[in-house]
Amino acid sequence: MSLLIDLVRAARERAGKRRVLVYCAGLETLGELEAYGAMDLDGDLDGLPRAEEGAAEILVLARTATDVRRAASLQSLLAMAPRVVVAVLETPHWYTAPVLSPTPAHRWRALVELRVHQPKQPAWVVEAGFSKPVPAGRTLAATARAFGGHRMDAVAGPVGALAGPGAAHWRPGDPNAAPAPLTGPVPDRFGARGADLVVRTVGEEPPPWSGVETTGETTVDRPVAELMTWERLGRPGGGKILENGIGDLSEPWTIPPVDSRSVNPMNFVTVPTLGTADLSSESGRWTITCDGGTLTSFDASGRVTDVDVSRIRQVRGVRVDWRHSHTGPAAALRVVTGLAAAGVPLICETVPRWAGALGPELARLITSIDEPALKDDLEREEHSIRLRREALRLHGVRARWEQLGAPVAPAATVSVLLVTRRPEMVGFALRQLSRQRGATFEVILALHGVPATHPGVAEALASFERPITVVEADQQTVFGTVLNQAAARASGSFLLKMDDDDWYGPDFISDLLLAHSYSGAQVVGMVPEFVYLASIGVTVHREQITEQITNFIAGGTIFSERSAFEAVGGFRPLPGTIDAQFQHAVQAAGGQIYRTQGLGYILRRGNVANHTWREPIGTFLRRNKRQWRGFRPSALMELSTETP
Amino acid sequence: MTGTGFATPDTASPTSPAHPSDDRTAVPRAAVRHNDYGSLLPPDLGTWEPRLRVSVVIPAHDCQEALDRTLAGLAAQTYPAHLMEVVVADDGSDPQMRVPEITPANTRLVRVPEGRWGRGWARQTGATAAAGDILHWVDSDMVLDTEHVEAHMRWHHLLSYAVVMGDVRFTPGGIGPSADEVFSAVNARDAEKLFDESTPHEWRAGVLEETRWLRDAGTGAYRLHSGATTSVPLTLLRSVGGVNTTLNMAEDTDLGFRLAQAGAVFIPDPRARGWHLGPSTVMIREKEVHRHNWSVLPDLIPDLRWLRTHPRRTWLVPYVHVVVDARDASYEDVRASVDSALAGTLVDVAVTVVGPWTDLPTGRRPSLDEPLLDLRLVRNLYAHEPRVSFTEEAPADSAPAPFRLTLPAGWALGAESLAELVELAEREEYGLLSVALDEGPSGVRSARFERTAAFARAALVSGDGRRSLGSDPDGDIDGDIDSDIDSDIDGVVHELFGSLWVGAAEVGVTTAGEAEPVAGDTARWRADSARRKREAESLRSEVKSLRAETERLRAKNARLEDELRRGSLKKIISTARLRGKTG
Repeated sequence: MSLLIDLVRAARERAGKRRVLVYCAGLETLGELEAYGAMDLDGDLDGLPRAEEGAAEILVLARTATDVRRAASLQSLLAMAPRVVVAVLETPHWYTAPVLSPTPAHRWRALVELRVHQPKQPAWVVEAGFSKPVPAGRTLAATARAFGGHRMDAVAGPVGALAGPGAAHWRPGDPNAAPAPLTGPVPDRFGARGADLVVRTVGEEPPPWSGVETTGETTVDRPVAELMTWERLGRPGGGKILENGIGDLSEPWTIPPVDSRSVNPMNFVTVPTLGTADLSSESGRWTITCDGGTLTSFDASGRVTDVDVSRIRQVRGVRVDWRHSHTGPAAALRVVTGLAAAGVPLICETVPRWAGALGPELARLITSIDEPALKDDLEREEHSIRLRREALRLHGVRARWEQLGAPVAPAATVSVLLVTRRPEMVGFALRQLSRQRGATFEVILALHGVPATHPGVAEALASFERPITVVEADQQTVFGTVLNQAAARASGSFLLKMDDDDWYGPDFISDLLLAHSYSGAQVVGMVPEFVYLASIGVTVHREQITEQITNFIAGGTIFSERSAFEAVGGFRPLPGTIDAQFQHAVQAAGGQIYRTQGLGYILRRGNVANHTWREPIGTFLRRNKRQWRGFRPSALMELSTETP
Repeated sequence: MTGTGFATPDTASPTSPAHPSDDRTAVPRAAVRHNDYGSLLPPDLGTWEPRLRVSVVIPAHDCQEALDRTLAGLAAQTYPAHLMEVVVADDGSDPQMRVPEITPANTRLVRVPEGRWGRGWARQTGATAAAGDILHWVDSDMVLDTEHVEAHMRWHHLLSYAVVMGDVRFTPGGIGPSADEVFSAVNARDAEKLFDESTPHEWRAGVLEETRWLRDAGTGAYRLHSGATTSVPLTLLRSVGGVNTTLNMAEDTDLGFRLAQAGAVFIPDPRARGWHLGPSTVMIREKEVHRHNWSVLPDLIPDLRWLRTHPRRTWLVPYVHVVVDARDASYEDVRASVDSALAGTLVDVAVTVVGPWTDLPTGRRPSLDEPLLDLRLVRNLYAHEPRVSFTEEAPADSAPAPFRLTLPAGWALGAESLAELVELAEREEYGLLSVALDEGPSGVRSARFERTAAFARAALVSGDGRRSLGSDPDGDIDGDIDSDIDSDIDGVVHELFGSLWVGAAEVGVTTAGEAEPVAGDTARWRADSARRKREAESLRSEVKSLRAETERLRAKNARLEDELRRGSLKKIISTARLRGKTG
């Protein structure tokens, strides 16, 4: 905090008698900052200076990068200044410097000075100087983007308007959002209505909304935080708020979403060093304690930040104690959904009646496993994966707005590139694809030196019920070229290279899509954590670090944005090593490769007779976490253990 | 009273007339993992129907008074008299031992043969005379509580490879109770009052406490084996060759070790109560006992590593038995394997070379052109190396050596390979380590590192008594592992002890061509270099764990700072409030 005060004082000194504006996000109390006129972006926004107003300097002070992203949704409200400072008090240790990346657009030409520094770990400060006053919101949005690896920050879907205190909790990380006054209307945008859907945070008796008749946008009223404390709910008539009033919490759409770009499974620890922790109410706030120490305390709003997640990564699991905390049921539900989205292994015996917003599946999952089961690293990770899948899909920002009434965006399309020289493997490979769920995809099957009329192939194709295109390549064509030919026939916005003899879990493709959505990487894949060594009949579980940006993923799991694939020209025209070549090219071009959890993939390391393995079998026997005799897929593979 | 023994099946067994003899001795094939017998649920005492016969064997030497007490205690057992015999083995007593009045119905006296003497001989003489299914050793200065034998026997009805040990307390000594007193007290279930000042053996009690009564003791459980009151199936005892008759002390420790190699599970039963009259010799003269026994045991028990610290000398029982098959292998390949096995840092190793040695002609022959030339050269080279032996077929097992390595000819061990394999096997008490050497069209070639106890127990559990060893003479191509019997026994070993595959490089195994020469002091510097490499590896992992620690501390630091910040904030707020009130 003293760091922030120092920043404000320094700005005031520089400004002399000129005005310095201070905006805050995620700070629990403004404290001393109040003396400097600090404005809370999570509070009442109707009193903010108008965006056209000017100041000598503008500071945006946030507790974490998660809070920066939420503030960025309100960026258009911020005033103008020739000097903008964005400070973040705490970031996870693995974050890199948030260096802004100005585009050549006219609006960035005024930038004349940029300083990104760490006055004190783990804080980051961005100071941008301009030759003339510019909207401070641009620097704020650019800082949010810089923390997220410079991927475009947006929420897929129509424009959302945010009105009322704390409304930005409903749509974090969207600089395209339209802040609006509590009673409306949403300011017009280029002669059209300013938003298509409005979320408004209101008290028990919401004021009327002006504008629906003329502009036709939909409004959804949700309660302000103060309405949802147990103390308030406990007063006479308070029960009604929960039952059928504005405080209804019976379904997922009733609570703010999880900012999955910021709170997600990244840097999940598969072999934790701490025991099981407790999530319970301490001095009225949700707190995670382990072995008598406090690991993190959550904000009264219940929003989980990247820092909270980072602090509890080493715990084996978290027991949820649902007893009342005075911050109320909505905050409790937000903490639990946020932790679940981050893959924190949550357990509890029962879920209270008022927790319907979790969704039935999440409620089932949390109670599906007990503490002894978490002692097994693999079972713990399986539980984590089930939780994060459900939480990310049900409680993500885009999903939430669709639940609120935004039109459902079309599903991403994936083209699976499958090259084979072995007609006898076509049936096996297509079976792996037939059981995929939760993803829309087509298959481009490239037969390398095998005619499509081969009986084995024809039979397999006949029983395959998804869109499939068959490409024939002659024996002489090199492997890389065959893949590129297959890619040329693909129509999806993502390309996924799969192998013909590996096992894929039924959520393989949807897990990759999920990892792509939260990681920000252009290329996503898995490492061969599980390998079946066919020649000795042993399944090994190898020590691997997952859920992080990496330089290697398995060749049978390369999932790439089409644009990244095209940017590097696809695969090299070589007979082998093309996977490594491709990954090298992507990184050289400034792209990122993300390695997600590997429990949905089993590499088959067959007999040398059928395959030219560059890696001797001993390589797969090194650093084994565990070995099993026979075929032993993880539970997520949903396969029997019969020897294949 | 001598020569009674058990009644014949026709007249005996009123408790189980319906059982033919086979059924009478049948014991379920229970699978016990390591030494964790927790899965066995013995019946409560007095509530079950025994079938097995027990021979209580008491070695005795000049101790009539003590023997009278011991027999008096045995005469008051709850175990059915018709299923129990007592064999007193008189080890040259003067005057000779006699069977007293108060004694179990079937009590016999046997004598150690003329010219023989000692506890080993006494035990073995008793064992030879024993006619029961189970042999129960009892020392002559012991008093067993009334349910003692029954407590032992309930385990033997559940498991065919159990070695059960009674719970012995030691009296301070002095004049013991008379045989009459013992009989009536034991009979009245009131024996405890005779020995109210008794204490447990401290070291033993400590081990039991630490290991959940040996359930967690693993392969070291045999170290609690003593002859004071211990029972063992006679078939198991005979399969290990009985008692070592050359020993007058430590014969029970040696026997325990060999039983362990035969797959035995050691079960201490607290309900099998007994009292030892006076402190044991170990208690009185511990140092001298150790001084003596530690001159005998290092030859016999390779497992006692601290007794085998000499860098070069040879011992009777090797720690690792290496088997190299010379059939269809070149002289150079066999030599590389055998030499490397003899040149490691683990020196108490023995090598057996398998080949058709009797086919080597003895008559005049062309020295450079004889048909089995390579075999001849191998024979020549190792003819006088005491650690190398020759056999026609791989021996069925390596007992009492605790480990066997089957190494294909042409593969060489690194200086530390055997030491590393032992360490790896001991880490989780694995029964089998398979070292993947190379891979051909027909499968993976492997070296097998087997725990003798694990394969012995697997054979007992699977019941066919066949060992996997030898059925795969090349010890290598496991191309189709599902098809042969090996995988069955390997599967059982995996269930009982666990098994693991490792890469050749991980344990320093290379081809003969890549191997370092074993000349001169290379063993030492090879070991050095291997150690350095390992140190580097462990330092790397230390760096990793320190990094994790840093991360943890960083998080903690952040938390503390946060608390600090909040703390000061609280102060500010309270100060502000105070001001508000006062102002």
